[in-house]
Amino acid sequence: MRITTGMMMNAALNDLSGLREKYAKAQALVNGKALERPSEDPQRVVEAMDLSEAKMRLERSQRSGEDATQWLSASENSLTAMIEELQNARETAVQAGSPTNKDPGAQESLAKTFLAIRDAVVRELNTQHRDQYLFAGWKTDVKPFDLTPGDPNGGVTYTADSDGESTRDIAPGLAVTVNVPGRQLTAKGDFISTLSRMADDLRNGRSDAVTTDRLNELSAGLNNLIDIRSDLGIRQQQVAMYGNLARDNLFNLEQRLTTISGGDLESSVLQMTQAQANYQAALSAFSKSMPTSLLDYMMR
Amino acid sequence: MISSLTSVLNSAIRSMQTAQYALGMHSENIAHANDQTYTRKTMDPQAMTNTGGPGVLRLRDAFIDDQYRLSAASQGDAGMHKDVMSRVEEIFGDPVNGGVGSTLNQFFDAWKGLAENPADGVARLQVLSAGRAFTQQVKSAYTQLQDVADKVGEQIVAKVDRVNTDIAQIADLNKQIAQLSRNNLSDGNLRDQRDILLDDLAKLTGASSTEQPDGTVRVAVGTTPVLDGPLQLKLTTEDAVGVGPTPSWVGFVTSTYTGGGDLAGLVDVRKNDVLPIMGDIATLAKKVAQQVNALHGAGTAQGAATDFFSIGGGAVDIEVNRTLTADAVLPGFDPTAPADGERARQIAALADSQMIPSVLISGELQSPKVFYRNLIGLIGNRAQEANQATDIAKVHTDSVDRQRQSEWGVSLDEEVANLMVQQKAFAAAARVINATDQMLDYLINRTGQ
Repeated sequence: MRITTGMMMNAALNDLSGLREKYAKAQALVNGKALERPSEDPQRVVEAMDLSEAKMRLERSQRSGEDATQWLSASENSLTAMIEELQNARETAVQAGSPTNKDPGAQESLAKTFLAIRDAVVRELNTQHRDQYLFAGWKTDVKPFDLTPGDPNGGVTYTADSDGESTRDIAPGLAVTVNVPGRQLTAKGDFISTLSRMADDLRNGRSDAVTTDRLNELSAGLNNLIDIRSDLGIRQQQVAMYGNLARDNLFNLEQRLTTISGGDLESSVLQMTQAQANYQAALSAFSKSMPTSLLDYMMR
Repeated sequence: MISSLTSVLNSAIRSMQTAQYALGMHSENIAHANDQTYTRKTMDPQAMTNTGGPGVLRLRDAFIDDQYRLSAASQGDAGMHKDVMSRVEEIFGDPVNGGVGSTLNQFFDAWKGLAENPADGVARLQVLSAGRAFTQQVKSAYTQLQDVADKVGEQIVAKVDRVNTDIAQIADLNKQIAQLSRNNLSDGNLRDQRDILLDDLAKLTGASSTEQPDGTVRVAVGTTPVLDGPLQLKLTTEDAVGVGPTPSWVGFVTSTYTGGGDLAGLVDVRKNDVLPIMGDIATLAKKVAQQVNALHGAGTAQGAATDFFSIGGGAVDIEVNRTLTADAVLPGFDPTAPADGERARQIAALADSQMIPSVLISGELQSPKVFYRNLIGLIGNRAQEANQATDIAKVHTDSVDRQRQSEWGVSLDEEVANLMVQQKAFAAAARVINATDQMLDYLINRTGQ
């Protein structure tokens, strides 16, 4: 093939610009910007979009998980307090049956104890977490429990009137209920009413009823609370487990994302150094070969 | 037969003249050494011009020219796709961390946040601002795409102008060349000029040409003859509604532009890429807005709410309802229950609800995020395709161009060597004259003394 001066020039310039392009690409890779444009690798770009969307969801469920833990432990604390108070009431009820407490003065003091416990439990039923009533279902702005006025048995009314369950997605697609709608608490025995009636019974000399029927009623309500608390405990465990899973998943996702968008620093730097060396070699070859022609040797 | 000394003298003079002429020709070649469009000339010992001077051969090969123009046309076509698609890609920015896609994700994420904290005023504000960011991104992408489509139209108009200038100039050169060749005069430089124009026209339109015996060329663009003897067509642009300026021929039975090259590339990329992508973006935004309004709008059956998005008649006439305040954002269906996040939950679930006809698989509905992801994948693939086609066409054009250069480019070494040859020939002829002179001197001055 006949090679002309222009051809050599063109070939050299083309080669140089090709090498420059490679150098620039390798540099972008080092900077972790391998996927600035969809055309650079459509499949990977789509994968990266997927991953970053999944990442956003995981981050959201991590936040939800933390939130869920707060709600659950607030509810659990409150329940524990109630349970302790009620256990206290049970012991007091057993005491009421003992002969040493038969005189009216002792009976009256026991009755007062029951009423104090009742008020403490009602206070717990109206616990707030971040200005929201814990046991009010969805109507978190309404104080859920009020002593029913005029009720001879002194029960409570669930004024929030909502059984709404608040849920948090602790993992994509997995929702956990974080609240206990108030109605559930008194579903198997209105312990508030029981406590009122215990005081009433003692004042009216029916201490037998306190140690038998009332005690049974109280135990039923208490057991229900204990069941609910253990259920909350299970949910808390679940949240913690998925929190760990989400953390692991996030870590994997981020790793894959950096790999896709050129985060493999060692190989990128290697590529860049190589491209740079190639470019420099081509430059020096070009500068040596180009200026010579027959003119340099003949027409002197 | 013994030739007379006079004829020896004559042929020596002719030889010197030829060497001198060749020297001039080589110096012209050298002068054009860096001119890629120049066709090198060599001496043609067979031909003589009618002025008695030596013949000159213009080393051009119509076959290689045809090949070059064919690949220049496909390079033009692919190159336009590449240019336009790379601008489209720029509009969508970093597909992973920015653009319509991430604001869409953030929008649904904000609803999810509200669903879990319905009583939180800040979560409502976030929903509003995420909605605004989404519509803003959609509008900006759409406007920029519109801008690209408009620029394509402008380019088409400009290129149509150039096509007409090229055709007119070729017609002009045709006349001059025909005249020169009738008079058997050298027309090499005019032909070079015409070849440059034909190259340009081929890149613009994929025009092909055939040379006639009188030295003129016939030019056809696609199936339309645009220059043939007295016939000379003109290209104009017609404004198609919703598309923009489109080239069409004036002065021929069919006005449809059937050519290739830059013009075909521009028309095609606008019709098959830019405009459909605009449509897809608009569909995405409209569908999302409608579905959100179906849950959070005036017409909803469960718990009346104000429209979240105001949807106008235009393609992307969508914005977050200006009258909607944070208070009026209703995360739940029961207005008396502040912890009710059911409505927000359902809106957040729209992210996965299959509602938009796919751009890839006809008849399949896709969720907004999958729709958008596929759209980006599609844009990426189209752009990649255009890049690859351009690269291939460029390699092909370069290789044909190398062949052209190899055939008729100027090699300095060769010219210098030829210069030496001619110089020696000149010196030798001068020696012959010298010798003949001495012989004549003997003959005339020394004989008969």
